[in-house]
Amino acid sequence: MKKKQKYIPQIILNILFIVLSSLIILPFLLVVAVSLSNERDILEYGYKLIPMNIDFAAYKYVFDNPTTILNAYKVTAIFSIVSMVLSVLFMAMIAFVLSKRDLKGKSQMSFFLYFTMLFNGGLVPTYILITQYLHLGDNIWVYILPGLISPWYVFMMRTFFTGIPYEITEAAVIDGSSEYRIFLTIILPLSKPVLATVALFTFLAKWNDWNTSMLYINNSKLFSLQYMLQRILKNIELLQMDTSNLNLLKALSEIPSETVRMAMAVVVAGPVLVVFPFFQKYFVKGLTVGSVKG
Amino acid sequence: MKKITKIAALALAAVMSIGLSSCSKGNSDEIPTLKWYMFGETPQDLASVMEAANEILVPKIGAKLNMVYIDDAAYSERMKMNMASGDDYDLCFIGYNNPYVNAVTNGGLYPISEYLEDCPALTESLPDFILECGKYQGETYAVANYQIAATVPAIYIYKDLADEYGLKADEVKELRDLEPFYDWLKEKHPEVYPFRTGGGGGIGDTETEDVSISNGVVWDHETGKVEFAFDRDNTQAEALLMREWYEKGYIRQDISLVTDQTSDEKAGKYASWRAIWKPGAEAEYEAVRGRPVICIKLGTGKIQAKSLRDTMIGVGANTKHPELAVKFIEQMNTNKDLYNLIAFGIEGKHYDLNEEGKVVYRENSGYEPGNTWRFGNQFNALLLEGQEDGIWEETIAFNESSETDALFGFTFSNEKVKTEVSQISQVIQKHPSLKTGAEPVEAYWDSMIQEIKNAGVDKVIAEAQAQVDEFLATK
Repeated sequence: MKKKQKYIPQIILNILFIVLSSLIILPFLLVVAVSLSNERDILEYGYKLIPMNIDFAAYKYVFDNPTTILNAYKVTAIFSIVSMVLSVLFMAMIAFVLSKRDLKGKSQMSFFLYFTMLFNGGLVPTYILITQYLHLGDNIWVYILPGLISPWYVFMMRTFFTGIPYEITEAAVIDGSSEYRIFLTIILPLSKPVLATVALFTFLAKWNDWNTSMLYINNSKLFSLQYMLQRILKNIELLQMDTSNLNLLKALSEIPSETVRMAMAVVVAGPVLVVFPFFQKYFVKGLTVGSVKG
Repeated sequence: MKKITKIAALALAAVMSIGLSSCSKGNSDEIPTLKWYMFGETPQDLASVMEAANEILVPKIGAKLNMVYIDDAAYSERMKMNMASGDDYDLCFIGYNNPYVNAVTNGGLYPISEYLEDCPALTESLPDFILECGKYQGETYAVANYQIAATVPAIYIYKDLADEYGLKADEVKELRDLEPFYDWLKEKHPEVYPFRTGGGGGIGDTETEDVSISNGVVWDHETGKVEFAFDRDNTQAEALLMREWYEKGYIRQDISLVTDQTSDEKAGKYASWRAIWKPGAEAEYEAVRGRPVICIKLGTGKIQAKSLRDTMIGVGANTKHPELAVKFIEQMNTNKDLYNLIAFGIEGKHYDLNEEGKVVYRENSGYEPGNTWRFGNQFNALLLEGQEDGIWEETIAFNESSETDALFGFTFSNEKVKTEVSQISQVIQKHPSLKTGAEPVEAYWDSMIQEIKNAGVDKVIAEAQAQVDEFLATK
């Protein structure tokens, strides 16, 4: 009797989480399944979790011109990683300074950062600034430099740094350590959770960036992956408008459009799935910044 | 604090003056270059085509051309930015992805009426309605690319099904005449849906495009009288017809859950669908759907300014050479060599002509922009392999046999009645679509009408009538 009572909540919890997990996993599996299906089967019978016939046509279409996709991968990977490293480094430096207890003008500096969270110039002035004054149009730095510092993450890091006992840094100062040394050898190693969290968020935001390419990039060699995939779909639409070219229309009607969309989703999401578990162990700790620590 | 703002202001002024002075550099003896924004993928070998184009343009108008392609995926946003930031482009594509009236009201275009007068070759080469549709409040800012201009509301049916039943197309005068055919389809071909409903356009789309149901207002194109859309008998009649067809099972029963019908269209699940007709439309559908179709026209051809304004060339607001820009538009409309060069590339390099004199693209030539209606008067274009002989002549004849009406080129500005218009469209959106027939229209029709009236439709009608009267008076 006693044993049974112990098991019931366990079973309920397990069922609850099995349901919850399948709600999250099934749509993703469906995307993968559809991307591997035959287009005809989908049109005739709808989406199926287990493909009726395995067909790689969608992937063939996406990788039809492998150099463009691989190039977009390369560009996106470069600016995502560079942004991630630079963002975390610069934001950590600001946060470190702001976490000092005895810093003069701290509240003014914080306000200077905080102000940009509430007010910004808007899209058009930003566009004018970036293209006409900073001359970042058609330049890979346009992905990296604007938005390098996010005040939100700076404050998140500052809160975490303030939580590191002051006595540690004080001891280091007494031992003759410079500020740089304190920052690099004491603060940063102790702050892995928050650094990993911010790094992951920055990486994801950059990896999913398509807006920047749309506004500032004309050179197709510098397009980001997300934009490149959106462009493939758009170009199919554009070709379909060429109603005077009947041969082309015929060829286009054979392009697998439903499955191509899903294949693109898989192509984009793939690498992030690999990156995510790598950061996961720091994740929970990083998110609880500001809470009381033991 | 004051000091800081002063310094900042000075620094800003310095930065801006640097920016300005770097703009004003340039040699006055140089041949000016016209920058033309076009949407689409940049052709790889654009440079050699531009070089060839300049050989034609420099002696003719004394200017060079620089076409700047912007991806279709970005064109709409980028042109908004270019217009707002004062980009100095000379020409740009205006159309469905960069709407004409928006471009004018946002200050993105340059008034060109006076320069058009100096280009008689251009104005004479185009029919009146092309020039007329470029006018916004009496001033011209862009020239429409002449192409198929007239449309006829029509219904398309798969030929194999129609033949099997023995449908006589000339006996079908209105939608109701198809009912026996649909009954037969339900019995013999339960695997297809007889009629495809939904999709774009208002419920009045068999009639005229300007039935802007979203405002609750329509204007009679002959008399210019503005009316409440839902008071008109045919609006209600059509909504009731859709309801009846839904109940009879001609319309798929899960229609209110369907958001994207394209995959079912591709799979041939709809036996018939409504769309506009234009010369060559049947061949187009056959190419896309893989099965021959027949077309039954449900009206006469009408030329509508809205569809002409979908493809235009506009002159940029900050151009330094408006007269050259207009002359260039003239060249794209009247000079077949130049037009075909931009549209197809260089003969023998990018394409060949077959024995019928039709264009055959060379594979991977690096220049195949397609969609030739983007560049100017499409009737200048060489025919592509597979296109019927005489298609352009047929299209021109169809355009000329169609009519424009008294309100051609009129655009309603909802500036003064914005609140009412948004309230009305909220009421309409709140109710189920009248197009699908899935809900009992008769049950909620009266209360919906009352709600729309309460939302202020009378004020919108009065405003629209005033604008229409003014438009007719200035014409």
